[in-house]
Amino acid sequence: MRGIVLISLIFGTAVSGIPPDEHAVDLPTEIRRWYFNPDGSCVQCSIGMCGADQDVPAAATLLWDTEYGPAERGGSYPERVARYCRSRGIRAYNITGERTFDWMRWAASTGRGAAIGAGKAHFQTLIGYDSKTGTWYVCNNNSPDRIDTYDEEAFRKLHLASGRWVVILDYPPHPARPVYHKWWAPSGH
Amino acid sequence: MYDKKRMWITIAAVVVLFITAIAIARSDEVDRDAVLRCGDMVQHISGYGQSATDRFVEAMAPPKDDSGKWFITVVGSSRSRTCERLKTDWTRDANLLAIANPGDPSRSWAHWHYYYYGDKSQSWRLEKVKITHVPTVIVQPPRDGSYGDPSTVVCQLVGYNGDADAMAAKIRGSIRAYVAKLKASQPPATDTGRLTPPWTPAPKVDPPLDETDDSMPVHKIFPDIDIPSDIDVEVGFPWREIMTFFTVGFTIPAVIALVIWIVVIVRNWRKETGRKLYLSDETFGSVIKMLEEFANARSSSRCSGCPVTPDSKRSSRRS
Repeated sequence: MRGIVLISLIFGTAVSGIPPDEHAVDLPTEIRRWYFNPDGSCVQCSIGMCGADQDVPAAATLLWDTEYGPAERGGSYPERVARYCRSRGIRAYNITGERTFDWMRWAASTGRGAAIGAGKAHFQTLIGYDSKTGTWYVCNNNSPDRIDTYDEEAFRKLHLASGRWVVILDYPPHPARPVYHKWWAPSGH
Repeated sequence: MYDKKRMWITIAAVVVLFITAIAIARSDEVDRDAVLRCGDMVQHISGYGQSATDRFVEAMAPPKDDSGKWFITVVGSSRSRTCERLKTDWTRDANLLAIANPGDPSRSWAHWHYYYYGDKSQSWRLEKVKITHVPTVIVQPPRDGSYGDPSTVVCQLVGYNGDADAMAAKIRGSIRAYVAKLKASQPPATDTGRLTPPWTPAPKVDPPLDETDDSMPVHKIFPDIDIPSDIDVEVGFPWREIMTFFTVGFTIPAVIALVIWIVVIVRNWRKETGRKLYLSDETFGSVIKMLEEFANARSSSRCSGCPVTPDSKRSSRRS
């Protein structure tokens, strides 16, 4: 088991128990690629990805100069996040300390992503969490094509390696991709 | 001097009491939004079972948590006056606010989203639905699966002529019909594949933006049928098939109809009592459908002049 975790930590893995479009963050690969980390802006990349997922343009455009505000590039810390969120009018939970795991579970269970500390002095995007198998799904902005999976222990180490800090956007989660079902038909869906 | 001071204290106390009394009187002891969401509704609380109305009232109640909220998605354009009007009305009209409060998501009954038509960061979400005009309003069930597959389009409304009440009424009516039907069939939360939309698809060009037409009333394009809100959810007893036992004798279609009826009754009972189900809803539906087709084939081959009536089909299928 540890071997598998090690392999997944080293290489990451695209093997996923939950279909990609059912994750809390269900952005297609081409959208995730927008948030490839260009210059050590991992926090903004991670928040930006959540912004795209929840359709919050002010957050989704953090990396660029737009009508929502100037580009926010480079390393970050809670006070800086609070500052640019305030100036752009972004509602967010900026959480540090003991309860970050609870918040991450809450975010995933309600269909929200989270920008999370993951890896040494690094931020990534929490894509989802499968409570049945204890599997965490994370997208690293250094390799946005991929969704990495972690079991509870590996994820704990990953998060603690960076320090307990999580940013969750305070906006509704995205709806599931709508599909026409003949729900009124005699046999149901 | 002392009396004057006492007089002022008394006046201040009276004013404070008066303000407190007004505040108490005005505090919300009734959730008026929940009342508005129910629309025109008569619920008979009898203590027996749960009617379609009961289920509707339950669905319109404030959700237990965030994951139990329904989804209202508005697809609009900043170039359309109608869209801007709808957007504005949704922040003002009491009936629409009761359904979704764009300005205060934490107090909103449903999650509300406004997607700009053509926004590449979001347009991929709507690939499986046809957006022919803006504004388009799509209603979907909650994410937690409590009302079936969250991807299901409960209704899709197109157009807006400023009649917010009509918009709200159509949303309520669709949810009511959907909830009634959903609980009756307990559908699986799986995608059964892409279905052809129940209307003539628009030509494969960029949809025209409704920039000037403010007279287009709220138009429901999905579903394109009028569904009674109180859908019969009971399993009908196959009287017709029983009668054939006495008139024609044992026939395979009649036996199959009876078997289906018994199996559905047993399955529903097992579901209600929380017992293990040996087949998933999808598999069970397929088996029943196969049996029905087999029965129909036997019936038509036996008596080519006596087609299976919708009544007989419905009586064995309603579940």
